[in-house]
Amino acid sequence: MSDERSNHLWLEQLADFAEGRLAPADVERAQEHLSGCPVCQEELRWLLAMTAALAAGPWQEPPAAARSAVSRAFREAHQSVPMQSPAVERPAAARAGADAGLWQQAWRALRDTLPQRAFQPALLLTLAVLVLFISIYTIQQRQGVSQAETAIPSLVRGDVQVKLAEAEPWQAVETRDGSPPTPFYLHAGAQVATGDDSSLRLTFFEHSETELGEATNVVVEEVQRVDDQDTVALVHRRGRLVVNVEPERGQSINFQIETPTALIQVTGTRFVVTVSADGTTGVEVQEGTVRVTSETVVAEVSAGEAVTVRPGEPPATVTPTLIPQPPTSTPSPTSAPPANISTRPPIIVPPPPTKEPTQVAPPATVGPTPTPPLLFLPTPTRPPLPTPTAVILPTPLPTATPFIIPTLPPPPPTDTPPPPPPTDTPPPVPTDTPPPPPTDTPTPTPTNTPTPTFTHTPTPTNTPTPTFTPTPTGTAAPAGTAGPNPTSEAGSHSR
Amino acid sequence: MGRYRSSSDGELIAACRQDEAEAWDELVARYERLVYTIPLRYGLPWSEADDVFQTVWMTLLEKLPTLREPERVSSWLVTTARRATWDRRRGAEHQRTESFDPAELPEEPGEATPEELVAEFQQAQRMQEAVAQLDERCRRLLYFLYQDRTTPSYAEIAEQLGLTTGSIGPIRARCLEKLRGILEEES
Repeated sequence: MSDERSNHLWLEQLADFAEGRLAPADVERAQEHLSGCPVCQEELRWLLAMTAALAAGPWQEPPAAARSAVSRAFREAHQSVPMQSPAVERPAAARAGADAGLWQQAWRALRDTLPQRAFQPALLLTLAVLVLFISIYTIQQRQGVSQAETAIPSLVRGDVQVKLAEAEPWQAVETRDGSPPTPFYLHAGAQVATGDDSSLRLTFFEHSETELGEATNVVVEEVQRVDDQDTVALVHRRGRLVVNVEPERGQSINFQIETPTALIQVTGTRFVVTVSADGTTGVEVQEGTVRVTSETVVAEVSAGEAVTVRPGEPPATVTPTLIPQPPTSTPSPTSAPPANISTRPPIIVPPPPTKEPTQVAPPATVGPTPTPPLLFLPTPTRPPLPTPTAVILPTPLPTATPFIIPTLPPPPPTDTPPPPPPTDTPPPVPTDTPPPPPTDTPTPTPTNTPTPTFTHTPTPTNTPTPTFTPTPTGTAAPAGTAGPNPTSEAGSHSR
Repeated sequence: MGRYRSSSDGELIAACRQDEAEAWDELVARYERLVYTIPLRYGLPWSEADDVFQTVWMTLLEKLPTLREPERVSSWLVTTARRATWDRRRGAEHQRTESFDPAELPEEPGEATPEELVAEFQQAQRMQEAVAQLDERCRRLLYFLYQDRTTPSYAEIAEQLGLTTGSIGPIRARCLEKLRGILEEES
């Protein structure tokens, strides 16, 4: 191994080779060397495995509601175990119980001290009213807030979880006949999520309401009153929202909803917003006018119209189209539909694209790897790759198997065609699999199958922060702690 | 939950059978991404993936007393998740869930075995942890090179990172070496 060492390809060259970035002459040289060098073959194999593992699709985290349902199910099935996850439920319930106990005690004490005949209806009534007042007072004290600048939940149905603030845990909302047992308010920063077949209503400033449909996630970003101007801002991540905006008397209201692809602003209207899994936003306006902004394009959508904003598409696609069924209500007088919109031909709104991915039949066993073309290696005779002594990734990677494609793609860096925008139907899948080698036929697993569901979510942990890291500009390598310096003579092979 | 952090899957199942809710939570935390991602990879929308997720764990809860190979619960989860996914896609949700032993399922040709998928999942977890230990520049560079779905060019990456185009190659090699070092150290 050591005598050939200086001839070995550097990791850098191998990576360039794997990514099709070598100059044609270098490609030939590299191929020649690789075909006779098990060490470099192994190195390349390792490299391909590692980059494939890097590029593999993300493993998605389930929503908190689903997770806590599973956690709860265990505890319900194994009765004696105390519930732990939604930690906040307990104290609230316990406190309510304690309060009730206190009142009972007080009542008994009172009854014991008073003579029997004092228990007349009038006295009872007075006491009841007193108790009521004190109860209301203590509840308000406990909340310690005014109701004005909050979202008030009601009509809770099914599995509803809230996160009162960023740092708070998710907790299930207990329901009793559709209302939370103890009233609570959501301030700016709170987040609400509904499970399947669940819903709730949030009320802002008395009259404006949003109804969260099932599997919906909304962040209350702002609820604010400054003089006679009310502002409500929601971040709508997914699911369905029915919105009814009505300013309180003497107030004006600015109600806005931010989705992954659009910003929707309202000043008094009724409309429905749908956010699909890929971020596609649909807005149907039933009353009044809504302004929808996607990047720099602004569209005014009036009653009876709808728009769809898809991720990755040019903002020009914010095109109002007519809702199939005629609007039942008249648009508010302040917002007559603009001429350019009403002259558009009536187009049926296409169904939301959520279901589209289900058409993609082939199971993708490995995540999408549209990034660099990883699979080309010249080993015409395919000598068995030696099992390495130090395997870094101990599990066999499917990507490392289809190793044999004698012809190389052109090396210029601009080789990879950009992937299609995520909303498109996925690129033809099965044809992507590398052709089986002529001599022996390992069955290649379809590693290239892109799964369109993932395209909109980069792995959260790896998401680069937008801050720039200032670095030296030369090729000179700064601060090489672990890796050997590839620009130096000594081989960059660590083995 | 920390109590069971280093327990094996078999130990977790044993503890679950003893009504240990913490062991259950650890098991769920360990494999929730694995279970949840399977229906998504098969193209089910989020809401149905939620259903599959819950179905799988409810099934496990039910089978807990009789699960035959507790050490292989991860593979069992994969198979069950696939089964639930297929049932959804066929719209035959209620038809076959009754007498259903995932072990009897035939493998679909060309599909990774449950063991392979579990291995891939665990490897991705290790990879993610290893990448997290890299310095920020390496993390970002590797992201742009191998994970960014927009496949930015070297020039674009260089601009993003404030590097020259020529330095991307060498730095990439060093970052990969570092990553290898971390992964080797762990195994």
